[in-house]
Amino acid sequence: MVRLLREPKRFRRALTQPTMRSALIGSAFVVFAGLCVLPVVYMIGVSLVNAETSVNLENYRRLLVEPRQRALLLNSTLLGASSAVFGTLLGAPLGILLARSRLPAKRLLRIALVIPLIIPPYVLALAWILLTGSTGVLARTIGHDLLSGWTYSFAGAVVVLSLAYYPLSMLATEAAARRVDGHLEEGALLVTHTRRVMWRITLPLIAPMIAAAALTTFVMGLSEFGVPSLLRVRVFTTEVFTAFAALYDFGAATALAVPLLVVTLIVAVTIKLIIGERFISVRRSIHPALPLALGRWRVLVFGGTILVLTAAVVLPLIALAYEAGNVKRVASTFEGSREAVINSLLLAAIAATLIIILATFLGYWRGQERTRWRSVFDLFLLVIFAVPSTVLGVGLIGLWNRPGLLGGIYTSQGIIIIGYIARFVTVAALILAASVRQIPKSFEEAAEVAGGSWPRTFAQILLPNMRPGVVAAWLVSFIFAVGELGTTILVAPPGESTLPVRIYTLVANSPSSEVAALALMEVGIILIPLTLLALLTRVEVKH
Amino acid sequence: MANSFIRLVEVTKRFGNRIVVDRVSLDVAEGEVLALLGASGCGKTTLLRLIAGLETPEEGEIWIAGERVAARGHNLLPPRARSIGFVFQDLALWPHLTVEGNLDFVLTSARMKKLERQDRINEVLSLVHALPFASRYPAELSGGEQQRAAIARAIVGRPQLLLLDEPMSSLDSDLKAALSRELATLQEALKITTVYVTHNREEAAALAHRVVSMNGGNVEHR
Amino acid sequence: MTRNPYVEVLIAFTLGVGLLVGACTGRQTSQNNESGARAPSGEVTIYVSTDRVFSEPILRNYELNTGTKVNAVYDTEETKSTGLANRLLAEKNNPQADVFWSNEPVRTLVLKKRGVLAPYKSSSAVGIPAVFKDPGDYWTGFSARSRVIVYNTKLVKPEEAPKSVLDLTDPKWKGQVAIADPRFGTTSFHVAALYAELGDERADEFFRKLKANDVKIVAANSVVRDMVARGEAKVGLTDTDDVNVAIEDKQPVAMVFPDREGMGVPLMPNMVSLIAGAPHSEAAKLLIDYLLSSEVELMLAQSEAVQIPLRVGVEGPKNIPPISSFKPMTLDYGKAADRVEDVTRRLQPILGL
Repeated sequence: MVRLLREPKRFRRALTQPTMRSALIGSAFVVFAGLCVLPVVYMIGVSLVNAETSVNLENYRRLLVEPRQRALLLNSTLLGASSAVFGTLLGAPLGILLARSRLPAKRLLRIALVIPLIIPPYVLALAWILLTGSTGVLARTIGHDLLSGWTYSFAGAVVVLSLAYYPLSMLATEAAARRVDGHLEEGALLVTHTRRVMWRITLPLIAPMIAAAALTTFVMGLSEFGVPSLLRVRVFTTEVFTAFAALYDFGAATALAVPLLVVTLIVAVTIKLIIGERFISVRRSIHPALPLALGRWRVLVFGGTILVLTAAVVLPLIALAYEAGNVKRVASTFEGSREAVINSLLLAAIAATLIIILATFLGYWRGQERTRWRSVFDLFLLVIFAVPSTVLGVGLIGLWNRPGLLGGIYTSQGIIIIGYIARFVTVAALILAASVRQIPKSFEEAAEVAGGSWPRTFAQILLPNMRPGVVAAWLVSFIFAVGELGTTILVAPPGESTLPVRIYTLVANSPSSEVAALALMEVGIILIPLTLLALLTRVEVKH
Repeated sequence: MANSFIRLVEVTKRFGNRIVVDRVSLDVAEGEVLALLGASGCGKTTLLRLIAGLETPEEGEIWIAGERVAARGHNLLPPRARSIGFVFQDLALWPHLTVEGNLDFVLTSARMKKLERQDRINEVLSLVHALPFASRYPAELSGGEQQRAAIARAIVGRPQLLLLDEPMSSLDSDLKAALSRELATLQEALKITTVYVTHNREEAAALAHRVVSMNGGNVEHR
Repeated sequence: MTRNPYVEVLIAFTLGVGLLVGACTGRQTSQNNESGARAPSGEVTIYVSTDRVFSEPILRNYELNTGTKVNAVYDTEETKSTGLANRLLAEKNNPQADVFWSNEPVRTLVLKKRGVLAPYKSSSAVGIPAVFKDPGDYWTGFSARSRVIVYNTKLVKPEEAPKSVLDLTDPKWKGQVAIADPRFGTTSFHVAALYAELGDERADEFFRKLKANDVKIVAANSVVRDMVARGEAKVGLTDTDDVNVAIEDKQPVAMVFPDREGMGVPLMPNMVSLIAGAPHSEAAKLLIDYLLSSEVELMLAQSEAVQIPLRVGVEGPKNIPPISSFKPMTLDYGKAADRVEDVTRRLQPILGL
């Protein structure tokens, strides 16, 4: 060491930390730009160029001139916002319960509560139509139609989307709530009671994570197409689809996606101004976080949880099972699905893993960055996430379908993985950034002083402390990837592709009984590996 | 001062428009224990971090062991090449590793062989009376035990320089007195050049050979 | 000490799935080798928007008989995706497909207009009436579906069912009519055909009345059928194959071929086209020849898609009237397709979309 000090120049180049660090983070950004940003830039380019390949703003000049379009945009915004609010109101308390309280069968409960995320939202909507539609189970049971007016309504769409997306908020909240330093809470406990501490100390500390999940939900609600169209709610996304499916106009479609991106930006900035940038000071499990003693509320809270579980999981699954009944055709339909199932699980697992690798670096950079670029990056991630899957898919075709190496990838299953990465790396990066912000800077500095190279510090000190975030981000990426349809169907190479594509191309015109049966099987197929994974992974903090 | 081990020459550090360390010049002799005393916000922690290389000075030079490690707004040597042991104010014990594991990270970073590492860890842990809880996780330790673990981690790599940032701020006074004595003994045995940041005058007097006060980003030599 | 349990689990999981896949695909390849004893002679890529359940067996059959490997990409006309036409447009500069098999006319005509298709006059199209062929040979029609009125047999007696789409504006159906979003899929074709047939003013008037009759505009043709089957609506507009699937499923629905007397039944032939710059154009032509054969028309007629053969000699599906028994809507498919964009814009304010 002493000699080392005496010959600094020789070692400087090899040892200077920023080199390795910036090289790795830099490459992550380059890959991110190439896979996720470039297709969007390409499509914006397409929207700005007319048939004579000169720059033309015509696509944008037509935007929002009709009051009809403005009303649709307002509808979409409200739908996204309401889904985010109600999804958070359901998910955040559940997350805190899972993190802090002693509920019976907690692990099983967690898995069960995640199920709605696995059911495609439009199938969830179908389940509710079967339950509360004018000829649904409810109407048949009580003899007259009570809720169909509510089912086919804006409120119905909000309920379905909240029930579909609350697990996002739940997972994010749980991950954050586990990591709040007990000291901070105990300090407040001296002067007030537990519930107030939760409200005034814990909740504000985990607010950024909850807000990130809420924003993700907002974007998903904003860009949702299947649920509103099934429940006959008019939304702006239909405009984008009209441009594609009725007018075959890529430029117009991309331009029409821009208002959605702008709304996303406005909402994200607003949330940012309200929540602000908080460094979540935690010393993970130096002091265990405050447990939530439910006391006499126990029965009520447990009952509430069961109620959510019933509404979001049990009733829809029962409705689907009832509708599916005994369908002969399903068996034959599913017989040939083995390859699609394997493709789906494998491609999604590979993509989720690649997403995590990419997103840990992006998230790390975002989490430790102290300049205002960090906020810009947050907003950028959200806006990229809000790009409609079809726009992205056409962008990917434009970029990758050319002779040579790129074309080789385009005509292979690799393009599906690229599609998954492009769609979901943003969400993973947001989750991981939040989890980096929960790691005290001194952890990394201590490793730096101790002589750890940056890659080693990253792998052995930072990554283990990001564990709950990594697990959550992997699960979310995996689940989203398994269910991805919009981009996959545009880029999937000939031959068997993924399960959603297979189901979709097989049953689009089939009776709802078949759709129900296939949806149930899809849920089962995703649930089995997830359950195994959840049981294998110790989410509990080690003691 | 040819024999000074650390030398700071007109070092200035700003955060935005705020000058936190203002043209500070300071010398610490080899083997000396220097206490940096001052109220919170006076810049003493920043000064410590500058020496460690965790912050970059805007102006001035920093020399350690005759080597210029920072000058003209650049760190010339990264923290890991400065041979430093650092005890952070929040201790920064890595919660996913046991006490041994925390120490082991330091030694594997220096590419030490496994057998050697185990010996060194045991030696250091017994020196700070931390052997009984070697295989426990930080969350399972009392405040005093965490303190010892952090000190053990700081000295396990045999640094030339030990930097302590208010390491006892969260301990009760009995424990503080006991640990102070142990730290003094340790210093006696190891003869490491030490800079100790504190806001407690008695603590400073008990441990240090020399006390330097800081105020508003300036040092007051006495 | 340096292990990261979660990374291990993730790696283990990925590897586990990998092994599983290895095992399964290994088995599958060997199966393929056994069944594919005949050496494949070349390959051909086809994009198919006719439902996979019906088109896949036909393509498999072709593979077996010729040894040509058929790479197929399937899609449907549903609105949840934007379809293969968009993909063909996006791939135009570096075509991957050789053949496009569409289940309705509009998309084929859009692709023709955008220069995605190449002309090919197939020798096996003999017997298909000239109305179902492009004068420039950019497409050739075969087996057709029809737009139909679907009704709930528990709620509506056969003699009371509407006979013409124009009957749907009758106040007795108020709040009981369901149609799919007229901007997409076969409904967009039907609507464009009505504008071509009735003229703009009468067509506008029809849709205004339909709106006043509280028509339910739903996501897709299959949803129309499901709502009628459940009794959420008494009648609706959808396609033959959608209704037939429900009839086979013993659901309480039946269909009426609308306007058999008046303006004619809106038939939608399948259309097959060669892609301009197709990587395997010779193999493509052979596949097109096969798809236009009487054999395929017969297979489609006997399938659950109950497609009506365009050739007079081919036996049609049971329960479906043969093409000789009614008057098809006399349509210039090119002109009708040209109007889709304009009609879409026109209908949005009328139907409040």
